[in-house]
Amino acid sequence: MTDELKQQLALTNARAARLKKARLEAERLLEEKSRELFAANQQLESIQQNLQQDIKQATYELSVTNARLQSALDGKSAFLGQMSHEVRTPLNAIIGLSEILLGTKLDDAQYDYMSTINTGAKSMIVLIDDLLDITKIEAGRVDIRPETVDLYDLLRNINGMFELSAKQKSLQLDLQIENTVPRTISIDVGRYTQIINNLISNAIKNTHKGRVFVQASFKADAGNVANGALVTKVVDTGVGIEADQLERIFDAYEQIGQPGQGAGLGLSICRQLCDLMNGKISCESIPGRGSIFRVELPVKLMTSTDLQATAQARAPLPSLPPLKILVAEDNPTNQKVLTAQLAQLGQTPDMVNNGAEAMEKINQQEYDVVILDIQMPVMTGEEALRAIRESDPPISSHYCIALTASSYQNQKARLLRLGFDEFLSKPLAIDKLAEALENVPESLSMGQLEESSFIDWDTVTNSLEEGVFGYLSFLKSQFGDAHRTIFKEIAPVFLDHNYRELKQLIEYAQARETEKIRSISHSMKGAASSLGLNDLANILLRIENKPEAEDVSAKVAEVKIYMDRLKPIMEKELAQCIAEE
Amino acid sequence: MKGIILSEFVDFLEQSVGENTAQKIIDDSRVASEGAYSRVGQYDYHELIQLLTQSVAETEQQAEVLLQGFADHMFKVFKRDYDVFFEGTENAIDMLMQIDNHIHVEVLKLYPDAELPKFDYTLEDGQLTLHYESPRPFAQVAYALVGACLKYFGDKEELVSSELADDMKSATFVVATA
Repeated sequence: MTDELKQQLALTNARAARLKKARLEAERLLEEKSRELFAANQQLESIQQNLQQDIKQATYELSVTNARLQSALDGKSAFLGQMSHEVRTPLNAIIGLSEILLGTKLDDAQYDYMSTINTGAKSMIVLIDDLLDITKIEAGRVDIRPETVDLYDLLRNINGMFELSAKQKSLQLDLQIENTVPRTISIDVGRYTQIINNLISNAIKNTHKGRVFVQASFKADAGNVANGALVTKVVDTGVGIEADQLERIFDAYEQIGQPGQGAGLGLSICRQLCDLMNGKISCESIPGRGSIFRVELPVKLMTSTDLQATAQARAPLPSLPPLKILVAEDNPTNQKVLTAQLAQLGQTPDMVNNGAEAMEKINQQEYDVVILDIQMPVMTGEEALRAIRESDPPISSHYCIALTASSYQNQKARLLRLGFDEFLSKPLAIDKLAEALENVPESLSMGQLEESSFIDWDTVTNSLEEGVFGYLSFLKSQFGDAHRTIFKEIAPVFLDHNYRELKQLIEYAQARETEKIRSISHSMKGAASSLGLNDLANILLRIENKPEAEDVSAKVAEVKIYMDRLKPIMEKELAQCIAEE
Repeated sequence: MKGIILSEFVDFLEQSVGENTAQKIIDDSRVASEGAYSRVGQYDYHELIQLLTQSVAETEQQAEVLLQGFADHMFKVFKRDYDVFFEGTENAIDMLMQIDNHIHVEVLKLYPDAELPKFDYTLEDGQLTLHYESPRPFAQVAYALVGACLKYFGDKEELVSSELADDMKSATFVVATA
């Protein structure tokens, strides 16, 4: 081998050795790097675990805070509810008593003052409602209930409410309704009134000179003639709003203008209500010149027939038959208001101070209606109701109305579930009270009945004279001079039909066929009522109401006794009538 | 110094002067590592100087010429192995501006112990002034790499001026659109 070859071989060997060494070095470094990676990975995992732990801890802490906040919020809601209750009670007295005074003989000035007191107290109720509203809206608990209304009347009434306050500030208050505005529309009257009230009230508050101007116009819906948008503008020449504040005026808890001028909730409520009604509210203003608030709400066009239907529901106070009414109410002022309101409806109630006293009264005599305030000392309305419902009949079947100052609607459902027949909330408007009393089933009038027996048979037997059953005088009151002719027509049919039904009733009562008992007693009750036989109707109503009662056969027996006594007298009357012809 | 520079220098030598000559240069340079470089290893930077010196002696080429050849080789390797850094760069100025605030940032993530030179720059009226600074005297290497970069991007820009410090630890290059 030549030297050159040897040298080349040595170089090749050296190169191979170098490459091998480089490879080993690379492998060593790779392994080192792998270990580093492994360690880094371990560290990452531990960091991740710590992070997860931290997140768990933070989540837990947040949930605790959240629960605490929720409970604070609930507390706030409960507090608001309680406060509104406390404030409503005296306001109820002011509204009720001023309404009564308004119905008495007053000179013009006194009438004005009294109206102002009444309106003022009602605005305070509105304010309280605002507070509750914002809470409810924010909790998403507000429903929109459109009803048919005469928009022109509504706007005039709204404007009318502010005439006095405008006059006091020497402001001109104008209302302009463009002639394109339909008269009869469907809208949530309460919410619409609330929005416009708020805007007018703000406008008057913030205007010191000039005028406040309410303008209504209408944008017809091109696609649907039954729909459109009502645009109501409230324009004032007041202090105006700075441009930078304009964006914030509709936010909750923002106070614009001078401090101490309102709770700052009004415009926020307006905006939220407009949103709920799928409408919009906006404001333009020039500081020092005035503001224009514009409300656009979708409305449905209605006919005047729709309106009449609504108007009928708001008929003048009905004339009620005299009812035996028991009222349990602890607050002396409220007692006075309620007594006066009932007096207006021609009623003289028995008034007691709590549930226990009410129970005492009920055990002495029966009532047509028992009105129970819910929050009373000694025994609450709820406790009293439970005692009534747990008593034996006829006490258990008293018609009971709950009276509560709480404004929460869920109260109503709860109380009705509890066994109340009706629910009234304070402040109690007289028409609502009248409506409730009107709904008391007529045949429940049990005034003439003794508690231990359905019918005072002694009276009946002692004077088996004409008129003891009262049907003739009843028919006379209904048909005047024609009553005898009517009686002649009805009596044989009544006797024949009712005896046939009575026979069936006796059979069903023995067989305890409750549904059949119910339907037949219902039919017999109707016939008895139409002849003015209230005592008979009462027994039949009790049977109808509780066909499953243990004593149903006893009650049916009473019906038979009644019929048996009625029959000869009625037949005698009938014979007389025929003879007289 | 990162192993990749040295291992690529050896590759460059083998490609340009042949495997045996390259081995001879390594042997004669008496570098401590015996030229067994791994790309990911860390080596004394003096070894590059030793290898370069020995290459000049062995091939009788000028150091500048050798270095330029090495720099061109490096640029091809960069493109082949680290194409990600070429994404979105359309010219040499883009690339040179990326060195400090992108490429070296990524290098440090992988090799926290890497001792990297600094490449500050200012860009004014489309003219890039690049300032090189290093604890090691490789201004000449930097010069060659700037040249390789310009060449790679098609000589659309030119090196207007270059100033290399006497100790070769810093340099200033001005690059402008041609």
